[in-house]
Amino acid sequence: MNGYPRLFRSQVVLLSAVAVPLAIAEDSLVRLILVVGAIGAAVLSYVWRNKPALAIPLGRILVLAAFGWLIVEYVWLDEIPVVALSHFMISFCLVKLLQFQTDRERAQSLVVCFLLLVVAAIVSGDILFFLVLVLYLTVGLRALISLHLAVERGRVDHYNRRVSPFMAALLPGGTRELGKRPAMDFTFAGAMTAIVIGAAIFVLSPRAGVGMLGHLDARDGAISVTGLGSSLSFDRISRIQTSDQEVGSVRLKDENHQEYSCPEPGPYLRGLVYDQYSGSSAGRRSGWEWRKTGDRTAPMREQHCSLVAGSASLLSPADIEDASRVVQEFRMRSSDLHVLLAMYPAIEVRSDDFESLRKNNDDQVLWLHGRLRPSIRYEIVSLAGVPEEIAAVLAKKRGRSEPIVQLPDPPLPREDRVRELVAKLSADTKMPVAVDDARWRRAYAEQICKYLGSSEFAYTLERPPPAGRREPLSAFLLDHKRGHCEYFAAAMALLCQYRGIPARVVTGYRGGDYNSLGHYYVIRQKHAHSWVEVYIPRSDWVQFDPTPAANQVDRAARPWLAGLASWRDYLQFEWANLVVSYDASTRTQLFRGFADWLRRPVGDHKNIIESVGAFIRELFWWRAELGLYNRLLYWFFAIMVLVMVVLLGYVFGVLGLWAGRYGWARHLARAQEDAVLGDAEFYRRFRRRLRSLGLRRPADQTPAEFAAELARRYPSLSDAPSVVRAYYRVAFGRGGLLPSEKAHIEAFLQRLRTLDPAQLAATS
Amino acid sequence: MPASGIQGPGVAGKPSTSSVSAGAAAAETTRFPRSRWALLRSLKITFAGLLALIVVILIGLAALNSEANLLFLLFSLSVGLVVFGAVVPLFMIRWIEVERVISRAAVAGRVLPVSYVVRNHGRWGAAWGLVIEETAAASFLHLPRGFVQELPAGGHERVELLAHCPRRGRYPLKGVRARSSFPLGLFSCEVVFPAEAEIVVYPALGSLRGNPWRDQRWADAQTSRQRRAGLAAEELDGLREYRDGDPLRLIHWRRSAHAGDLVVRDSPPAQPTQLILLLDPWPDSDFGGEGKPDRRRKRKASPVDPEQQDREVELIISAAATAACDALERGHRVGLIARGQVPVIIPPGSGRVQRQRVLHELTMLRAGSPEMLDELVSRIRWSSGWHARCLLCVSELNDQHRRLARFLSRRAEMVSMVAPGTAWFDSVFIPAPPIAPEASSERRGP
Repeated sequence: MNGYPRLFRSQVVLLSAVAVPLAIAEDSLVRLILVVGAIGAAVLSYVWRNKPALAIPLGRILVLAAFGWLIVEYVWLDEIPVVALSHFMISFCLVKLLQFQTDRERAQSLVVCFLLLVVAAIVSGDILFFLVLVLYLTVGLRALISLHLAVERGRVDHYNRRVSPFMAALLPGGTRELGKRPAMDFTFAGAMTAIVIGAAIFVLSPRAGVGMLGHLDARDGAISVTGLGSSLSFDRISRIQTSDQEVGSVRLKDENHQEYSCPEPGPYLRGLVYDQYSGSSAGRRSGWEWRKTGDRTAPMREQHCSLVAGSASLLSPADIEDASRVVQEFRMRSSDLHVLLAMYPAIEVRSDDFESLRKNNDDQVLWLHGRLRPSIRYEIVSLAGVPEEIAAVLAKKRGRSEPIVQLPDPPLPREDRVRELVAKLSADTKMPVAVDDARWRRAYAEQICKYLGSSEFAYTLERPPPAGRREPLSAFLLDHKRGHCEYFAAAMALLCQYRGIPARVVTGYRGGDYNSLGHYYVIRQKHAHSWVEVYIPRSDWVQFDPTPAANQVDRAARPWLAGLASWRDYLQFEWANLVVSYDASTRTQLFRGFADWLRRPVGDHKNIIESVGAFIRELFWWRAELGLYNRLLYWFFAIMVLVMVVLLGYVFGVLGLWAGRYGWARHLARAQEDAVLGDAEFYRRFRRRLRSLGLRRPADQTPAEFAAELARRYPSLSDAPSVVRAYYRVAFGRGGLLPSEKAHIEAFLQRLRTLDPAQLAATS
Repeated sequence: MPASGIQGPGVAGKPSTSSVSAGAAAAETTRFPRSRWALLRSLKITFAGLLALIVVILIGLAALNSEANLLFLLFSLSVGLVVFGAVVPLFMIRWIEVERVISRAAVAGRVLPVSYVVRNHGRWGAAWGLVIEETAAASFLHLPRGFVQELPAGGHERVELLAHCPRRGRYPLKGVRARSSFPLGLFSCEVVFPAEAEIVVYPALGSLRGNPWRDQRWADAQTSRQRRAGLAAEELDGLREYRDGDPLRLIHWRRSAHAGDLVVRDSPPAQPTQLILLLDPWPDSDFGGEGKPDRRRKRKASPVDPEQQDREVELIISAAATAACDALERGHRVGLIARGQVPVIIPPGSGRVQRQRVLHELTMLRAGSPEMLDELVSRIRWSSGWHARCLLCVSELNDQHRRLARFLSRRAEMVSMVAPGTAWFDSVFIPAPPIAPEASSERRGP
């Protein structure tokens, strides 16, 4: 251990780089403390005590215990296999770090550290992975190179001790680590080689298809959001609302591809919709919950859309002419429910990551089929507002002008009191119903929002008092009046329904962390939200958010961290877009962009020679449009191309030279042989054919003896002696062959050519 | 007194330098850098490389299956590292040359120094992690491996190693291999330098207590031999005039009186004594009749341990070699009759050449002769007769050996039996002890 201080440091750095972020990502304080504590103990023991911190027998017990825990996690705790394996590997590395390590153990722990990278790659998409990769390509590579030398020397010493007892005195007392300069040189060379080859393979390798070898999903269960489930139950409050875990990102543009300025708090991205409040007292789904009655609708209210060339229209273009649009570019982690988030109403979908989707005409929810990649990209075009004519179109698609009001089923236990509240709120609108139903409904909805936003009600993420057998929404409205967004939205929808106004609860994401560098919103779990859509004639479904503004407090980082957080988000966004979500379309875009960039100096020249000439001219002459940065890039590109051409030329030249030399040598040998054989070249063919049949003349036999033996053993080679005799006559007797003899020999050689070893053996 | 004989490398001549085919002996064929194609063919994947490749392939498959781009990224970076691990040793090993420096002769059980001179002919770029080893492992001769951690461009390093061969014999060496799997140990590239050589390992040489050749009986025997030759103790070969400085005791007073001048005895040159070693190291497999085992010796119960038997054989050969070397060093003449696959008969001789010859034959001695030792001896007709001391060295005394001893005792001056358990073996012969190693290592840069 003490002979390799640099190696020890490398191990500490690598292990910390992977184990600590993994422990943080799992939100496990215990694991984090264990990891940090063990690493700290190892470092202190190495620096101060100069002795291992853990005895070998105890280390073995700990490794066995870690293995046992792996089995427990996998079998009983249903932990994701890859994550459970990572726990074991980290425990293994920590134990090795705490012990007195032999070269072999150091190598083992370094290799396991590298395997942890695989785990990180599977479970993480964070930009931290990139930083860990850089660390491994520098520190890790250097450690591996040093270790290799030590291991190799150890092997040689061990061998020498075994074969010669005199060598023990010669073996060096200490060890010699790799020098600093050569270590840096080799590490740099190795890292550069890995990056260049790695980048080429990464960019060019095909993305064949999802799951062709079977299901390999390490993230089952890792994603779940508030409300994006088959029902909205108040018994299961998610704690994800406070999590900063990224769900995806969205960039908003208008129809002119300019940035779309969305009013605070940001875009409302719809996920699922629930339109009936119902209760059940039996079975797994006992309790009260909001459900989507769309499951019971007739299939004709669903529209199946196939993407053609990556695009599908959800409404006829003629219906939506002249309406202003919002283009949303999403990059999302695919959830188990395969719901596409979108602003309401979505009119077009574009994506290369899926080929078809279903759209429910009642609630406009977009569903996907089949297995998706872990990260999907798509574009949604939505209308910015719903003009009256489009409302009519949507109503027509729905198949009815007014949606059905879905009252709670069964009726609420305290329905009379809820109806009293409804009456009170109606009276508070101070607007007669008969004046204008649409205006009245809007006023009523606003009144509800005002009521729920008053000081009577309080927003909280804490669980409300246990409902017991009480119906939770009534309890919220009439008793405790405290809850989170789902309560507020559900209560408003209920109050609207009791007034005869169609209303539904919508779950999804609201807003996001806006990144001014990349002009996009980062959607996190904490942005999950519920709101209400109320049907207002001539306006279709209108969005209302009854949740008090208090929960809209920006939970952004402290101001002095905001800039850093913004940069970090931006890097994470670009990392996710360029690397994590890299696919065939990205590659096409990349090449297209590169080709466009390359063509800029060339101008309009079509001919390749003129283009190259124009490019070279632009390198040497100043063109005002090309700034210094671009010019330098072009120069760099030109030099790289030149180097590649020279290298390829060199390689092909050497190969050509080899081939030429080999071919010339064969030609010379053949010519020499021909000069010797002269007219007896048939003998060369005869020999070659015999060789291919596995028959070679032994050194102690003359050709005639060999031919005689062949004729004796193989009846099909009975003419062999005559061929040899003819050869003797031609080569040594300077005689010629008669045409009949030539024909006879050719016929024999022809027969020989069609013979194969199996036939020959059969006739022997 | 330590047994003489091979003191170390160089006794048999200059240490042999087994150069590479591109070395000095064949400079016209030296070509650097080596052929890329040949090096490419010598590129091998190590076990660690195989594991790494499997893991990389699995990551690639997982990436293809799950379309996880980060796994793609990891896969592609890993492929880059694997390529890096394959290319570096190829470039490094191209410029390496290795030369072996080793003695042609060695003694069993003693240290055998081996040096490898490693040169880096490259103009830039050091070579790292070079392992130097022999290509073919000869039985009982395992030469250690050399390791060069760093060899700068244009530099050379001499790696000194100490080999050990426990057994006598002739060991051919085929060539030297230099390989490297730097930097990641995933691939190994090697280059082989044909460097044929042969090392002859002589039997282990022990020592003898005292001077066993000064035995009184042998001196008496020598005297009686001289008497039989008609030489009285007083009768000398010649007289000469007294010279200043001659010891007074040499003055022959009677002759001086007759001659009227001082005359001294001129002592004849001492007749060299002869020692004939008769060696039958392998126990007779035929236990009927002639080859019955010695009942007086406590033999191990059957089955016979082959390793123990082998050790005894080597010990007896070592004893014979020790005796021969000691006698030759003291100026005696030594001959050898040995029973082996090829029977050995060396007439008595002296000097360095005789020592080489005797040791060489003892080195090459192998079992498998159908002819018994007494039959071999009976065919010999020495011109000078058996005027020698005979040392009958056997690993297992039997009746045949005793008969032979009786035969020799009628013809030779003295016969001694040397076998494990005899007085000569136990009290005179000291087997070769192990020797502490010593060596050095030096390095020069460009």
